[in-house]
Amino acid sequence: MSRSLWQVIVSLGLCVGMCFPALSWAGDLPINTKLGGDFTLPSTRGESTSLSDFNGKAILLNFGYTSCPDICPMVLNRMAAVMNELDDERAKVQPVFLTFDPARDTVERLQQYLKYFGDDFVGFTGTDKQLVEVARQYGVIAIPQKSDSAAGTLYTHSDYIYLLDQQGRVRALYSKSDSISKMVDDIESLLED
Amino acid sequence: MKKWLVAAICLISAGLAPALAWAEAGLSFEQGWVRAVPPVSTNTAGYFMLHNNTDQDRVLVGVSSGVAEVVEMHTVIEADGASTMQQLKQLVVPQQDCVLFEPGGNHIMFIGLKQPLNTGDKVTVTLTFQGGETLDVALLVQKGPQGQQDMGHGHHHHH
Repeated sequence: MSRSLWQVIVSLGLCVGMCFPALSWAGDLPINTKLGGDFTLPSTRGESTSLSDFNGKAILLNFGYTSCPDICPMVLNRMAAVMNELDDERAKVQPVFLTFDPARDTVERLQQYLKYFGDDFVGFTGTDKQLVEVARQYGVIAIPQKSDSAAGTLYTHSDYIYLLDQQGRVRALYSKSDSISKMVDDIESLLED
Repeated sequence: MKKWLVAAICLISAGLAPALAWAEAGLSFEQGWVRAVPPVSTNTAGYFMLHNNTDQDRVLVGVSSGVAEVVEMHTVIEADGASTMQQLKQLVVPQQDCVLFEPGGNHIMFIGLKQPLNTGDKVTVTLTFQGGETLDVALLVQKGPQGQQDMGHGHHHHH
């Protein structure tokens, strides 16, 4: 993905923290009215899948890339740990991963990669333009780095896990320092609403 | 991780000598593991704590392993809500001190895995120091840090 294309979203990404004062409340978690929104992209579920197809379920959403050796698999492990804690309520929650590295992350690769974390994980990819737009919607930072590493393109990126409610509204963002139990508690409170 | 916290961890673990794998060179390591990743993955990361029990700084200048085409040292810099991976050509291990390799911080990057690594496998990594001395460390393949939540750099809890 072109560096300049991604750079336009940096300043938007930086607003994640600033945008979060919610404008409305429902239950225990605020509704973030600045971030989020529907999108329709190729996914591991089919050629054209909308996020809103999962309305009725809570959604755990993360953005990353499968060539990432450290942070992305750690965050996906955290999502898997949350899902595993849910037991009987697992079917009411949809884990979603959206790549910002479509050149390497085809639907097939996402399928193979994500099933390791759970059979119910859904992966989305798309064109550079489409993915930049979704990243902008969610305030995601993702900038290809110039590097001499043999790993090829590495990304400077944010790594929040987003919790969306059954209507697809962003209700919480979790950083790496948030505990699994906090995420599980928040999901359970959404499911009770 | 904050310097004082690393120092505290070094001090605590220094008291756990029996648990350490001692090297003749006065260098030792512990808590070594490699992140298990999906079989389709060609990259992963390795972590450990490296102690320098001598009165001279040691400089780590290279890492290698038979399980990957290339192994590199990287660190993660967090700024403005995003993480950037930066390759390290060398890393100083101060005298009577230690350095941590941990998720979201310093880590060994395995690039081009020659075959999938399975949980429970042992991976040998050769650390090369300035002056040519080497230290082999054995890292256990596992899904996450032993007995801890996978929370990354700065959230290390020593047991």
